[in-house]
Amino acid sequence: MTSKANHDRTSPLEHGASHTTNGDPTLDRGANHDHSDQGHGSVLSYHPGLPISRGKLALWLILSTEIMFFAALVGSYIVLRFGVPEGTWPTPEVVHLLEWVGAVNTCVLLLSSVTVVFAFEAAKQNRTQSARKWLGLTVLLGFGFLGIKAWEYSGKIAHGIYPQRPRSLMYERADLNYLSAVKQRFAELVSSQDKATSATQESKVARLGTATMPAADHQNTAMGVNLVNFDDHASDSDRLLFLREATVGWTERRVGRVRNPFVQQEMLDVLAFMIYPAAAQWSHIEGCLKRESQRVQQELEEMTAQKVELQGKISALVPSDPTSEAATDPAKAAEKTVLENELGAVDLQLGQWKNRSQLLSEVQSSGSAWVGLNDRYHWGLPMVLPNGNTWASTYFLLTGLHAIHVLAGLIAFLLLLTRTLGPAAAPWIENLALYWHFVDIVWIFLFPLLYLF
Amino acid sequence: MSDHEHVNRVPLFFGVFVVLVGLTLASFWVGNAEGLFALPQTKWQVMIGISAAKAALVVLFFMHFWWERSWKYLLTIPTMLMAIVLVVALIPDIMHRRETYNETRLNHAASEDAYGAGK
Repeated sequence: MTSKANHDRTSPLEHGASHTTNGDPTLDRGANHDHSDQGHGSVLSYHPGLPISRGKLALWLILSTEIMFFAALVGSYIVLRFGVPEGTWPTPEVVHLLEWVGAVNTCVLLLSSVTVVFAFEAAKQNRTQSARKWLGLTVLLGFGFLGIKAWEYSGKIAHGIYPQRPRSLMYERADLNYLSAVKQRFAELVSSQDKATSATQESKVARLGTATMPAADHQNTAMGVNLVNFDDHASDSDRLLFLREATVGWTERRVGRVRNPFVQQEMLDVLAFMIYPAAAQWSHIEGCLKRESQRVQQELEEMTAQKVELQGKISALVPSDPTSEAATDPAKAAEKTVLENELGAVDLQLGQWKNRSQLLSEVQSSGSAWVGLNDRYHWGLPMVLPNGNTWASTYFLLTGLHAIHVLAGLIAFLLLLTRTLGPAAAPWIENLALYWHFVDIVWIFLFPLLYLF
Repeated sequence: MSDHEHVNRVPLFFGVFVVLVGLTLASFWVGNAEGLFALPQTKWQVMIGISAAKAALVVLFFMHFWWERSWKYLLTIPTMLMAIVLVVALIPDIMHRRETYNETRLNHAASEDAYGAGK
């Protein structure tokens, strides 16, 4: 009853109450079925409100809701992003975001938009093989986009920059709360290492049938360790204990002793810098390190002098003749024990200060190029990253919801690829392409907002 | 779509794609250029402007709005208004958020207690 070419060019309004169907073949079939016997005078004819197919109208309604959905998300992001105090939002380097990767991904998605348009053009002209080729390329590009995205995600997760419960690794500032979190993480690391060590020892014992070796006393090991270069010439266990002692152990003791809040804050800032330097200001840290190493040098000199003095006193107590009366004097022996204990305490402290001094000079010689402990050893220590949590939440929410949309489009394309992509399938390609372009537009806005702002 | 059934639009679409890639690079360049604008705000506005231009190109050509009849306004204008009003309605939040910053919020941001869970 209907000659399609004619109806395509006439508006439904011109037909008045008579039937109208649009270019959509699926729609034509439905309409024909209803009133093919009654012809043009039918009262029951279908009259679309808009001069487009139902499928396309439905798709545009979906897109209308999607526009508002993403507007709400982007709007909330803008509120969070620009609501933070000036200059505290993480820069791309701090959160390991590569701007050029985002730009490449934008181009991948743009290219996939062109290929799907080409697929539509080919399908309209009944070049089914060509349409299949372009649509297949679109799907490949879509998966390429998701692959790059997944690679970016894995980088963030490897650095601990992601939201997690009960608490993420990102802290707003270096304070006592942060210090205790670092201490706790070090304790976890040491205890898991203990378990691993004792497990290997047990298996060794089981294999060889020999007696178990005594477990190392960590307190003593940590104090006694004096590493020339903790990065190269140390076992994992020694390195962990040395760094625990020289970073958090040291900071905890000093913060407890020093009364000046500015000095306390400087020590906490240095601790945060040693673990994750990206978010710290080098000019500030440089000053902190300089002042601290001056203090440490001074203290080391004083302590060495004290040690020499104590050694002198002890050797004075030892008589030249062991058989003389002085040698068996119990008062002198007691005094000697007291002095020796004192010397032991000084030695212990001297070891701690030397460790710290060694770490400080290591950090100072690396300067702003210092690689933090987290990036070096992947210990997952808490890090100071102001607004890092807000950044991670918004980044993963926005890009994640966008990626889900990409995935939905790809599934629809894959289903479409099972059909013959001739003129009959063209409206399907057109509608899905409209959705695909919309997803592209969302990324067009997300790219500068997330990567470049 | 039906009005231009046999017009070959492939060169046009390819040209649009080249322009879009060019605009992406321009956005990247503006975002990284040091000292191009005195204020970062200007930079942001330029980048959003570029994005809007890119979105307009996609809508006009890839989504065929250039050739569609006036129904396109019926569907898009109310939607855009709602979207814009929504974002504008959030502006006061940006201005007021700094006023409610306090030590506790900074210390316990994203911790269990901050959203009352686990109690």
